Amino acid sequence: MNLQIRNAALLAAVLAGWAATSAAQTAPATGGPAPAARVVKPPKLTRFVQAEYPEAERAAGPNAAVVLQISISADGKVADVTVAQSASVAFDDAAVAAAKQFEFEPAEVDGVPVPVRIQYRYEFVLQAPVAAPVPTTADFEGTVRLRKSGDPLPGVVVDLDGQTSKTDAAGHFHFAEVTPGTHPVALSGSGFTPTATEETFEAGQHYDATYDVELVATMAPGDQVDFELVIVDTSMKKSMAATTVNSEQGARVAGTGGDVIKVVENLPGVARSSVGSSALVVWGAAGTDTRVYIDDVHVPLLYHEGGFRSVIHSDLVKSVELEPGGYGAAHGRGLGGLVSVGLKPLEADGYHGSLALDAIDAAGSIRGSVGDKFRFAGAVRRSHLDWVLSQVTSRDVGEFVPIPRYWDSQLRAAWVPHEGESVEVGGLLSSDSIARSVAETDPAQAKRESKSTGFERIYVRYEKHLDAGGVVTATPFFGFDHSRVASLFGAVPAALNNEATVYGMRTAWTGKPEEFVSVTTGIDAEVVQNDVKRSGSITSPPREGDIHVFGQAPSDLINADKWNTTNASLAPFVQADFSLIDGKVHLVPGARVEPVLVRASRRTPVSGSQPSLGTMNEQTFVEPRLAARWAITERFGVRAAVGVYHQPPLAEDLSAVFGNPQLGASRAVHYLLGGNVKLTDSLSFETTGFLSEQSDLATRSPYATPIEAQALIQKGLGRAYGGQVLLRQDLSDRFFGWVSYSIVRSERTDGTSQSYRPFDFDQTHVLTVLASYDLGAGFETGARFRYSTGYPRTPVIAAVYDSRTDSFQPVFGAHNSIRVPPFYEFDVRVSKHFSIGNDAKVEVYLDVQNVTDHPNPEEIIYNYNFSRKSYITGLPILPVLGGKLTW
Amino acid sequence: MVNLRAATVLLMAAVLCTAACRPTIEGRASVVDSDRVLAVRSMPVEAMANAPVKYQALYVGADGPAAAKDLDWALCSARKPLAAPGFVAQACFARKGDKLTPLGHGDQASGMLAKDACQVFGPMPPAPMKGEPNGRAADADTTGGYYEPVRLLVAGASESEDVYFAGMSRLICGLGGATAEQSAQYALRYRPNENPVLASVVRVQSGADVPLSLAASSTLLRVQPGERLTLRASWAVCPSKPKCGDGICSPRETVKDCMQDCGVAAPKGCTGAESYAYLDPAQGAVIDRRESIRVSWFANAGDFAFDRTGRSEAEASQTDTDNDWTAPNTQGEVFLWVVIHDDRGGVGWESYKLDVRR
Repeated sequence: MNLQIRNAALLAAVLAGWAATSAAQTAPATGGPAPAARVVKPPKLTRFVQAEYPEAERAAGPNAAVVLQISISADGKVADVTVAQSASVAFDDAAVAAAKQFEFEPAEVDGVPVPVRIQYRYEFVLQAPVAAPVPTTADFEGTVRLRKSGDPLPGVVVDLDGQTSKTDAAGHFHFAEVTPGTHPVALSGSGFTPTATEETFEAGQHYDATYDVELVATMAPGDQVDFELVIVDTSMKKSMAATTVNSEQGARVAGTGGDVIKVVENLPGVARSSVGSSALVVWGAAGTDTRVYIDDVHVPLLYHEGGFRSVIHSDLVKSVELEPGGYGAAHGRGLGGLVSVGLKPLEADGYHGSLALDAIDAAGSIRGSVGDKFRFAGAVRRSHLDWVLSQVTSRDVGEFVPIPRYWDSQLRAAWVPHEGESVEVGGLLSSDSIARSVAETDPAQAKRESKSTGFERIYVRYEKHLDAGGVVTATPFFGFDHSRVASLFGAVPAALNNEATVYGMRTAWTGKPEEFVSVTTGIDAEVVQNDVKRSGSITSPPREGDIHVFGQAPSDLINADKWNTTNASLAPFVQADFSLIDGKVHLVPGARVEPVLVRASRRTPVSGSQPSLGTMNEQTFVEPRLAARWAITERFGVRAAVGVYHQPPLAEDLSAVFGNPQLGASRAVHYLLGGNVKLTDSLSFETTGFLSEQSDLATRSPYATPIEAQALIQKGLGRAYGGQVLLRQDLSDRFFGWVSYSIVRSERTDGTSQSYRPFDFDQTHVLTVLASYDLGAGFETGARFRYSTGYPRTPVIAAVYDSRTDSFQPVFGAHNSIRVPPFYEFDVRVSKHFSIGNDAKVEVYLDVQNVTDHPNPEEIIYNYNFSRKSYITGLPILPVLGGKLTW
Repeated sequence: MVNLRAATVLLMAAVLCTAACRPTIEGRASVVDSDRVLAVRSMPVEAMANAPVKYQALYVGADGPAAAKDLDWALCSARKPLAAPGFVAQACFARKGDKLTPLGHGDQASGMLAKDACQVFGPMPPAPMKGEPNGRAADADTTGGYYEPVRLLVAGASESEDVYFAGMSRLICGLGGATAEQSAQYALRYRPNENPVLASVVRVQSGADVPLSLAASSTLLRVQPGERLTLRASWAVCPSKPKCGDGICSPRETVKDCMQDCGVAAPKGCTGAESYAYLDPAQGAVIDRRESIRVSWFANAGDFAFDRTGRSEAEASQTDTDNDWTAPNTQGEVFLWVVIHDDRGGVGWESYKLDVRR
């Protein structure tokens, strides 16, 4: 008999490789900490010594395995070997003796050699000698790589019809003697979804395969002295209905102008925004019901006015994730969805930056490091569309078009005292303004409006990866939001100023107390103080549910109020992920306790010299959340979730004149059920059905003489239900794309006595088909097709002449009983990359929206007496030529 | 190679077109091609609750004045729900109802404003429901005014063919939610509105302007078919500063200062852009403002350049406004109606007739 020791698994190196690469590739956990920004190089075995098969054990059986703990010094020498899992004394001694002679290239963190301790599984296999000299087997080797980066992936278990091999640090695996025929090949590992394929072998042939896989794991390394790399179970962070898009793909989607975050508009469950709108309508929820986080910092906006750009530079964005509903206990205060923008980890890999320019704006970014411990990044963007327009037309276009002017800036600085521990200080700034005036011969039709919105945030983010594999994060933040709207329609003014001071902090600990359970717990605190001033008609600007006609003068019955509010909440949350049945079933219960304190400065309108009397409303909610998913097979899984959500009232609604200062929180319950099928290694199909029931919504008082300070009442109900599907081809062989379709019915009722009517932003059908293809030679092309049902509108069935205003007053039919015609648009994008030297490249792109120049109706307009109607159409063909220099 | 300049221009044109390509819809307010009420005047334009008022309508059709006997008048005591669209409650637009007080038929009517008009339509809180706190007072318009509506109906063969119009009487109710000092100042300085009056409507031409001929005139101004005329409507000059003895009791004049203008027997207003006291709800102060004036132009043939013209509050010192009218290509008599509105609910009008002939 011939003795052979099968190549053993280098577990720790595998884990190191996995962790390092996955930290750079995967999305941050939902609400969880982002991985540290470090370049981790695992130790590499350079000299292997084969152990002698103990003669004393030959009778015991052909196979045995010893798991060793090998301490490797910073110079790659084996400092110590201990037995972690014994096979027998003889096997242990043989394995230790061999391992002590191993030599390694040392592990490195950010280029610095570090001592590490690894686990090594030494397998002893007794095999019969191959007698036949004529080749009767095939030789099969290959490489497993990360799909997105092409980096080799160590530690992957490759199963060839029962035989296994683990990839080494170079991602390489090898099967020396493969029986001819077709065999199943399965790749598995605890960091990615198992995949399988088939290979056919012929005797005497050599086969070299390459498999690209995608990881979902994150890393939590310990310190440098005792360098243990642990895979943190990410299952609990996998959301039930989340769609994540990484920055590389997002920037290549046609119609986004290279803006990664704009890709959110193309995800399932998201309604199309009308032209000029930056609202995000997710699963039929109001735009204000969807919360937006940049890492753990809550911001009020995702897009600049007009929706041309997002509020954060794409170079800083690692991924953007949309959870339309059913999200975990770590987040709350919103009845709708959750958008999480993950920032790229700051790395010590030299200086990099970019400059970008197109007809809409200009932007730049830079990142770098000072030494190993201090890293920074910054970006700035400013629109110049107004200037460009002034160069190509002599007319004051501002009279006709509200041209948005915006800028945003981000600055980040991180100090990394130790690997696994970092402190980041950052600032996020965004500002928008729109101003226009329309002169008319009729003074009642002259229009003037200005709008200014923005936010500022300063945050500190502390993150520490614990030795046991846990992660602790704390992100206090502070900032301001402002929104100033002033308009004059004839003599009718409308002004709303809202200045908010925001204090917030999110802390979280994620750990794995037991092998089968991961836990995240923390506190989500937020205090918002608003100073609000408003004047004008109570229906201007209109709120959801108001019946109005686009472009018509607002009611000239006006009022004014000035008030301030405080909205505070300190919500502890906990969520566990029980991994059952070999990880096939995950049960994720969670709970959040949300005490909400709402204070308004004035209980009743100003009346003479009567002093104002404030009001305070305290409510505490327990929000249970439960999610489950079951991987029925390696390729097919199902999932379900249910959760309770509350949202405090908007400061604008707490006016004693225009709203109701005693409004409480609104409530929603989300239910969802879905499944996913992995059709191929890169092609997946997901479907989700959902129901969202909303109650205690603030709606207009329907009464002619409402009770004082109750212009809004909390009797509104809402429901949204439907389904979505996503057929997604991840980047593979130069191609990626997806087809998403949502069928959603969102309805509201303004009081218990009224029947449901379509939500103002309901879009029953939304279809998006997009694709991007790398043509080679630096050329890429992409296309996008979008179709959506038109928004509901209330028909005008008659009109009455009002002599006082010398205008016709529309008489409306059933509320939201007609719709604007459907929208469809085809966009294309072509780009070309050039390399400049070794370190720089230039991208030139042409992004053309509405290639077919289809006149999409956006709003219904009427003639003077509402006897005839027509449509305002949206963007005609809109080519945007731009370029970007990156180094 | 892509022409950057061309691409940019294309982009700009596209963006411009986004808003500038608003479609034109058929139908002009200035074209009278069917029977309709062009204006409703309350006399006095501003009155206290339970006061008598007279109403007059300008009811015309494609052939000139329409048969006013068709007009069915009723005062309406329904208040529009707070956030409901429009200016008048839908309950007012019915043939009859418990909120409607019939006033008769014809181009004129008279009646009494509601006793509780200042509670229903004004700043006085409405009577609370049993066990509930006060109801919400009505909001004032941009001039601080409150209004009680009068409904006009031209009944059709069935209710679905009924056509409705609305007029308003401005209410003298004082202020709501004001301090004692604000109320006192307001009471001292506020002057009830006066219906505006068209001083003249002339054809502007080199040399001397030519007044249009009133509809009742036997001698008509003659114009060529297709001829383009510049018309100018003017109204009275109202004093921006008080001047005792000018016959106008302005906000800064009192009985004590100027018995001549502000005496009980003759607290006269001005028929142009008057000054008036206004409680600014945003500032919380009583300030002096000027009315804006709008002129609505109508004709049963030909085209006006603009349906309405006027002078905003900032232009109150200017007392005329121009519009172009193009005569029809066909010969015949053409009616022109010019209606003047101030923004405190005052209305005045004149009817003219032109002879379009070669």
